[in-house]
Amino acid sequence: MKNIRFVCAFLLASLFTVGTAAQDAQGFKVVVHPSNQVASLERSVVKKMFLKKESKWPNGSKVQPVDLKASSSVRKVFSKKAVGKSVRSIKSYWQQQIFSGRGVPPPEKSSNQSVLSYVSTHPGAIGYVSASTNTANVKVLQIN
Amino acid sequence: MSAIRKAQVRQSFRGLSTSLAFWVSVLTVIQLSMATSTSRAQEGDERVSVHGFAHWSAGYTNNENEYGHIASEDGNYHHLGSTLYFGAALAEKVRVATQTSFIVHHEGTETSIDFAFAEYAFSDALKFKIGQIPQAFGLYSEVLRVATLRPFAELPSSIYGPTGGISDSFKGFGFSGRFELGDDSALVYDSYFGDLEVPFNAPWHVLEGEAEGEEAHDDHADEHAHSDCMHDAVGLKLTVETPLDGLKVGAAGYSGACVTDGYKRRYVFGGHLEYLGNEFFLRGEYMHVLHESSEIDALNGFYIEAGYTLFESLQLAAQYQAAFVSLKDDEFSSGPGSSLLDHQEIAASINYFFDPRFVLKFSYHYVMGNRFVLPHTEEVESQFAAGNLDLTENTQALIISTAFSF
Repeated sequence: MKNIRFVCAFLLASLFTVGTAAQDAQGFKVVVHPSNQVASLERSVVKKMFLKKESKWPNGSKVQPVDLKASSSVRKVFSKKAVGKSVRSIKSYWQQQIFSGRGVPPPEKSSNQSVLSYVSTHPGAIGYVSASTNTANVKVLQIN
Repeated sequence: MSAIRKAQVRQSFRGLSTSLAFWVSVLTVIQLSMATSTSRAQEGDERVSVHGFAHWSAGYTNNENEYGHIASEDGNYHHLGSTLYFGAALAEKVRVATQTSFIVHHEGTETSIDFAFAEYAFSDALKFKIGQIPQAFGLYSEVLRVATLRPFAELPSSIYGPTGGISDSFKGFGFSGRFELGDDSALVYDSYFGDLEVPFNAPWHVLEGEAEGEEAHDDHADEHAHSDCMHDAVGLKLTVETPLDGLKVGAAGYSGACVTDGYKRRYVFGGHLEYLGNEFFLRGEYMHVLHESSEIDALNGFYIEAGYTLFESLQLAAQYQAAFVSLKDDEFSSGPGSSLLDHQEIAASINYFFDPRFVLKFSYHYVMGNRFVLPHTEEVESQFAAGNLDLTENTQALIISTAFSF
C-alpha cells in the first residue's frame, strides 16, 4: 500500500512538474522597474536592449537587461520569440562581443524570483519571467 | 654570436617573458576575482568581467609541406593557445578592457597583448577608444584567435594569414558607433588612426636569396615572414545590418606608411557579407592589398564558407578560398617557383558543439599552391641552388581541434 501511495505521489509530482514546465514554455512576461514610464515596447526594441544595441530608455537612463540562465525553458521561448534567435546563437553573439572588447552579456539569474528581485531594485532594468509568475512588485510591459 | 646561440638566447627570453606574463596574469586574475566578488556584493551587478578562451589542434599532411603551425607530414600536436580577458565598467560611460594571449607551437612560445584600451561612450552613435584596440576589418579581425566562433581550426589564410593586409590590433585611437536606419536596419562604423603591424610572408624570396633589410629568422617557417609596421594608418569599416535578421554586408579599408618598405604607402580594401541564422550560416570576404613598393604589384584574396547545424549540436561546414600575388617583376610568375605566389584551398569540416562554448572539430583540407603551405625553406633553397626545384604543389591535410571559452 505504501508503495502504491509513493508511486501515486511521484506521478502527481511529475505531472505538476511537467505542467509547470509546459506553462513556463508557453509564455513570458517582460518586466521593468515600477518607476519606468514606458508602458509598451516594440519587439525589435526589446531585441536591441537584450543585445545591448539600445542602451538608453526614452528618459535617458541606462538600460540594464537581465537574463534567466541558459537552461531555462522560459529563456528559450523568450530568445526565440522576442530576440528572434536561439539561446545558442545568442551565446555565440556574446562570445564575439566579449572577445572583441565590445561588451559583456547581461547578468544571468537562476530563477524568476531572482529576476524580479533584480528588476525591482534597478530602475533601468528590463527582464522577463514565466507568464505564471506573480509580478506584483514590478511593472509588466506590453510587447507589440 | 652564432645563429644557434641567438636562437637559444631568444628562446630563453621567450621562456622568461612567458613565465613572467603567466604569473602576472595569475595574480591579476586573483585580484580581479576578489574585486569582482566585492563589486558584485556591493552593486549587485556585473561591473568587472573575467573571461577567457583556449584552443588546441593537431594535424597531418600527406607530403613534406607544412600546413601553417598546425599540420606536418610526421604529425604536429603542439599548437595550443590560451587567452584571458578582463573588462570593467568604471562608470556609466567609461569602460576598460584588456586581453592577453599565450600561444605555443612547435617552433616556440609567444605572448601577446591582444588589446588594452579605454572607451568613453558619448552615446550609442559615438564612442571613443584609445590604447591598443582590435582592428576593425572584415568579419573576423577583432576575434582572430577565438576558435569557437569559426568552423575551422584556422581562419582562411587568404585573408587572415600573413598576407600583409590585416593586423589583430592597432595602437592609437578610434571612433565607433551605430545609427538606426529604420525598418530594423542599422549602420555600424569603426574609424581608427595609429600604428599597426601586419604579418606578411614572401616565400618567393627563397628564390632570390635573402631580401635586403629582411631579418633572418632561425624558425624555418618564419624565414621569409615578418611583420610590416604600418605608420600613420587611417582606417574605416562600415557595416549595414539589413532588415533580414542575421544578414549584414559591409566594406572596410585603410592605408598606412610601411616602415619596413621605406615608408611607401600600402592600401588595403575589403568587402564582407554574412548571413547568420540559427541553423544556416554563409560568409564571404574579399581583400585587395595595393603596394607602392618596387616589388609587389597587388595581392588579392577571398573566401566563402557555409555551414548547417543539425540537432543544435552537429555542424557541417565547407570553405573555398584563394589568394594570388602579382609581382612587378615577372621573373617568378611562371616556372617551377610560381606556386609560391598562389594559394587555393577547399575544406570541409564536421564539428560537434557540446555547448556553444565548447566545440570539437575534424576537418579535411585540399591545398593547391605553396604560398602558405610549403616545406622547410632549407629544402627549397637547396633544390633551387641545385637547379632542380620541384615543389609539391598539392597538399592534403587532416586536422583535429578543440576550442572552448568561458
